[in-house]
Amino acid sequence: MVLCNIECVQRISQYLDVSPGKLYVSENNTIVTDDLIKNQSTEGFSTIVQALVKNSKYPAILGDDAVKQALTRQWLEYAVLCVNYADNSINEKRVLKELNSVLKMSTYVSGTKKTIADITLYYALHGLMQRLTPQEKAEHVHVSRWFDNMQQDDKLRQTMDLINFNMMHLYL
Amino acid sequence: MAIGDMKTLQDIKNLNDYLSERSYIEGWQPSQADVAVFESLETVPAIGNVHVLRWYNHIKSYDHKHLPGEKSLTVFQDHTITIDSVTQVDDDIDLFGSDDEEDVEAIKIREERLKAYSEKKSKKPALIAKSNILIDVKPWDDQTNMDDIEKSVRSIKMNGLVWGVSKLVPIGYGIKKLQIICVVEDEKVSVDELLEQIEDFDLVQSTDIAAFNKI
Repeated sequence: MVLCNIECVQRISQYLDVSPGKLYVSENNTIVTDDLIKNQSTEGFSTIVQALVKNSKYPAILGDDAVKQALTRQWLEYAVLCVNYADNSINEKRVLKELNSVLKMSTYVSGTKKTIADITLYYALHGLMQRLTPQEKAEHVHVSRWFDNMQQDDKLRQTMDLINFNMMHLYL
Repeated sequence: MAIGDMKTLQDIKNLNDYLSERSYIEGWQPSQADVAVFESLETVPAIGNVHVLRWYNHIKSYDHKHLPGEKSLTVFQDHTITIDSVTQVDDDIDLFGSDDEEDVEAIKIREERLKAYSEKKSKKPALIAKSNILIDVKPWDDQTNMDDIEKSVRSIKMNGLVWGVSKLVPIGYGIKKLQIICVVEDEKVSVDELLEQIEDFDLVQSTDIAAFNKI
């Protein structure tokens, strides 16, 4: 049970209007896809996501300049290394806390533009956010704001549920 | 509360609270509403107002002329004031005053709001509940003069009681009953008392309520 799974890659590729190729989990527990790049298999979540972006019509979503792109890549790595394991309560708390402190100062994770990192994190975190109690949502108000803003994009949300973040009145 | 000019610290603080759960002033993407507020800020917001600062930097990164929407100062609902008490839990450094002040402020605002609400409530005229009643008045026999009955019934005067039309309905053996409509204010008129008063007349044998409708 990891959060950056095949389903997550499928949703990202659907958002980017590209085919993810044939996805499967390899022996050493990484996601692999065939035929994304011709006659070659791509391995690893972050690498696959970046390859998907390059194949899509929106290469700019990786970031505007070199600095932003590097930041976005770092976030993709963060997704694989940390968010990936946020399916137990200790890691979940830590990830939410870290994201909360980052999103306090910026609208999107890598600054002022929505990047593939936001999209990946949205898909990876959707299940987790759905489980949060209103109080937890209020404690991580920056993550909630960011997530609420992300989920308003119909194309991004696809068939996923709209999560209610209207929790402020409860804690008067 | 309207975002007017962002002059006082309180204005900025309110904006800070407002933006704590929102990315933009209006809706889910940058618009001229953001630009309007952005331009009304005179300086870069202080680090203490993290939400305003984040939003400020975000809006600064856009080309203002090409944002959608009309430029107007938005009116926003001010229900987010008390979020402070929640966010302060994970804010390690509180740059603006102590928690106590915050509480006093919150209580003050709540009291003001309660006051405004009770004032508003007291001004609203209470809805007067009225009922439309159709009363049957039956005489003793066919010899009774129905005109006299009607006259005596109509002679009953109460505060909140209005008599309406009446007619005579035959019930057999030449006996007729009087059907009369009246409108009463529920609070002022007791229907039982009214019926008793009618029955007190010597000419009347009994009364019945044929129909009772709330208006």
